[in-house]
Amino acid sequence: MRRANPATLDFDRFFAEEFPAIVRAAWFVVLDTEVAKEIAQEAFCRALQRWDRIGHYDRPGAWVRTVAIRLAVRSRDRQRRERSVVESGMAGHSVDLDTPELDNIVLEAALRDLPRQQRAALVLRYLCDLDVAELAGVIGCKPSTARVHLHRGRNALAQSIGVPDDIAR
Amino acid sequence: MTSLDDRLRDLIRSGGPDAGSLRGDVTEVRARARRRTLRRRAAVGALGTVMVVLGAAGVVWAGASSAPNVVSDDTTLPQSPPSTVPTTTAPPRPSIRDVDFGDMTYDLVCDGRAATLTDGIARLPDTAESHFDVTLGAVSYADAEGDGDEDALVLLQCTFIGAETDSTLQLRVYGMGSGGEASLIGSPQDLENYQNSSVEGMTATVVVDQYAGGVPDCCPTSRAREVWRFDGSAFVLESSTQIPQPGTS
Repeated sequence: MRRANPATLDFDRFFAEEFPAIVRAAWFVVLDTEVAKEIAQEAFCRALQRWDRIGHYDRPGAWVRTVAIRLAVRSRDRQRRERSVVESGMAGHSVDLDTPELDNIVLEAALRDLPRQQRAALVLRYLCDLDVAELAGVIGCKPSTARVHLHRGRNALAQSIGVPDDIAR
Repeated sequence: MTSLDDRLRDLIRSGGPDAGSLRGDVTEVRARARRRTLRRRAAVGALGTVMVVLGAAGVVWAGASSAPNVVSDDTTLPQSPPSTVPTTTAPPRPSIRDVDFGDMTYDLVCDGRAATLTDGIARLPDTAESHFDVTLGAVSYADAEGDGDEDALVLLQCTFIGAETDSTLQLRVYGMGSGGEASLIGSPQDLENYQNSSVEGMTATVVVDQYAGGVPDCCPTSRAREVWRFDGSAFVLESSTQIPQPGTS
């Protein structure tokens, strides 16, 4: 009987624990669950190919997240179809006001108006709690550029979701 | 009072797909990695076969030229090579300079996809009206890892051609893998809004347009000459010098 390789078990556990979070992070950039899953699969595949090295990192999830976010930012396949999809979806959608469901729809619509790098900056800041220098490293740009992405994304999102002026400063 | 940051944090954390519905299949990941490994081995095997065939042809040619009167027949071929040809020669160590970067497959190069270049270019279809062109730029050589072997700094340009057009420059470093294939070292670096580029050793000099916050996206506010040096694992920005933009005094 063959014995399982401990490294195999490690990767499987790592995958099971981290996959949903990586998909969620990628989703905020591509705004499509299937595309986000595909990106996450690709990022984990690359991690597996380098698992001898990455498996020893303190936070291998951060490496996979970096790959996934970069893939998501550079993915264009559905970009031009996104707006029509969400607009048609919203047109026939009836929701109660002031519910999490409405928040989600408003958030998604607002995010679609932003360039992907701004979306990536927002998700890395607000979902992953990275500071500007860290998120610049993930996106692959300079901190000054990352600060611009974050600033513009933050302001545009505040305007889209109708944040009152007294807290939008 | 809730700050904007708190509001956005709450909104984003409660938004998006439910994590509970996002289970993945690790066997798919393993199968994908296995397919990729097999493809790479096949490519290395094909390269090895070509080298063996070329090597054998070289030996035959050398033998024929040293014994022009010998009839080309197995029974008349010398049973041992001429004494001037060593019977056991160590194969030459593969050099990164032998790699043809214009005919190679690159992953994660453009739109997160792989691109197989032929004669220095690949076209990746996108939609009916758009595509990506991946082209090989300059290549320079130096020892990036300090192991005494040369490595290659390779520039790849990914250009999206559609309703709008934009290009990304990717800097990559390759060393010679143990299997005789080019092997990526460290992390590539993407540069956007670039105008032109050059390489020397493990250093790339790139002219990029810069955009300041609060200024409309249409127009760059400044231009800089950036020097990116590969430090063995990643590219580091060594210097950034402002230069005049065309049309400005």
